[in-house]
Amino acid sequence: MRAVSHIERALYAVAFLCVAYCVFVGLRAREFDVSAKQIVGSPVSSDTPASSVSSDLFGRIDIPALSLSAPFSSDYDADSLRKGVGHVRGTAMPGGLGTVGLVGHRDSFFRPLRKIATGMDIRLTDSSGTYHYAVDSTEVVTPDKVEVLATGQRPELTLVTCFPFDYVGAAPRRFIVHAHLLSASPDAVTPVR
Amino acid sequence: MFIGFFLHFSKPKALLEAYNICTQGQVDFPGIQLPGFTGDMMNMKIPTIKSLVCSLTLILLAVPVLTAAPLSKSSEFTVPSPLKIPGATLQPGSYSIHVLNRLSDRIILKVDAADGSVQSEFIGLPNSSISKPTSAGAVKWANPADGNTYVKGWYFPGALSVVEFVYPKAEAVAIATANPAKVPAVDPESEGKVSDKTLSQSDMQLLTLWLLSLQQVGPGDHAGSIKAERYEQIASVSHKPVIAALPHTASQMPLVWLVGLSSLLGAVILSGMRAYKHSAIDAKVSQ
Repeated sequence: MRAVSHIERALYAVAFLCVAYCVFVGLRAREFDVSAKQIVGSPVSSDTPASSVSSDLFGRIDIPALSLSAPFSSDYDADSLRKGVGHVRGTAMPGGLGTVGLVGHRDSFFRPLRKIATGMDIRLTDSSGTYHYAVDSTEVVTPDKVEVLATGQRPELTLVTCFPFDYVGAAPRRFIVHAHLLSASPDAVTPVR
Repeated sequence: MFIGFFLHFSKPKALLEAYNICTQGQVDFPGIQLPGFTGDMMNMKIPTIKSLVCSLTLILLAVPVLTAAPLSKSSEFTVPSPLKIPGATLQPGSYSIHVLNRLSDRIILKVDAADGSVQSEFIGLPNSSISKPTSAGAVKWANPADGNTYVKGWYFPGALSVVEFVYPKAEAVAIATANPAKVPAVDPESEGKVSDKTLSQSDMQLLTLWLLSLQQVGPGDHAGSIKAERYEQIASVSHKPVIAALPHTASQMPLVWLVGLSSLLGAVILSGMRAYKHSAIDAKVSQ
């Protein structure tokens, strides 16, 4: 009887720790998100040192049709992906001439991607402004197909997340979203003539 | 004469004969009377024929080089008012422009001030579609962008085409917004390179070239967008994959939730069992 009581307490403790861990991760992500909102839209000054939270984040991704909104950081290590979406080093910057590569967890920030459709608007925002991308296609590939990040004939955006979405553990494939840049200048520009 | 010569050498048998000529030093065309070949020509010494072929080859090879690149590698000029070139603004003064390197699809240029300080190093593209000015010097963009006068390209003395300047993305966007033309652009930051004067020549050789132009490329609310398209690649610039494999993007959260939920359920079940046992014992005691 006493053993059962001990097991019961241990199980309650494990459940509490799991909830505490999830709350902690959620709060970190929220803190990161708030920092991203502060950075986006305001030019980065070399005089003001970046805080520890915002040192590696530099923008946001928004897909209004899916209510997806997440900050993205300059790397895609485990810590960065817990706080938001990660930018693949060596790929283009938001609105840049090349292919932007962004990766995110299928069970958190990129979970809504399962409902993405052709033509949807994807917005990438950094200190230089907001850039619009239109979704072209989706595909499911193996992890070795890195060509999805190659530079094409026009500036593009590639979103990467694991597939299947409901898989528990290390998913064997990757879900890819291809989109192209609508304008190399942030938002709309007013032509002189 | 030369047509007949080359037609003859296009045949496999003739190639063998050509080999014999080179190895034995004798001209021998058995049973073949080539138009334009006289008996004297047939008896020409091998060095003479070789010289003719080499001269013709050199002339043929020299034509594209002469049309693509400026003859002179350096030119001096004076700026009366501030002038924008890729990566720098030239204040009034004397400067010189040099060709540092010439590749198959691009030219690396350098602009120095009179005191020898480097103002900027950037990429240029030979563009025969730009009408040549009457004299050597700068060709400016028709409309100023952001209140600045930008140099479109440079016409070197004796060159057959103008060398068009390739601007960093932000400057190219400004030029394309003000001028109805395709503006050559690069975006070093998007290729993991620094975007300042420290960009090396080897980096410049690998940068992807783009053309920016103002036009309707998106939905109605994106009127006046800047369209970007990749510049036709002539050089064998190949980009290596930026990563070896696509990242693993599954977090531990579902597992943590599953463990937490299972523990909670287990604990609740155990609590229920304990309560049930207690109530059963209490019932027995009360009986």
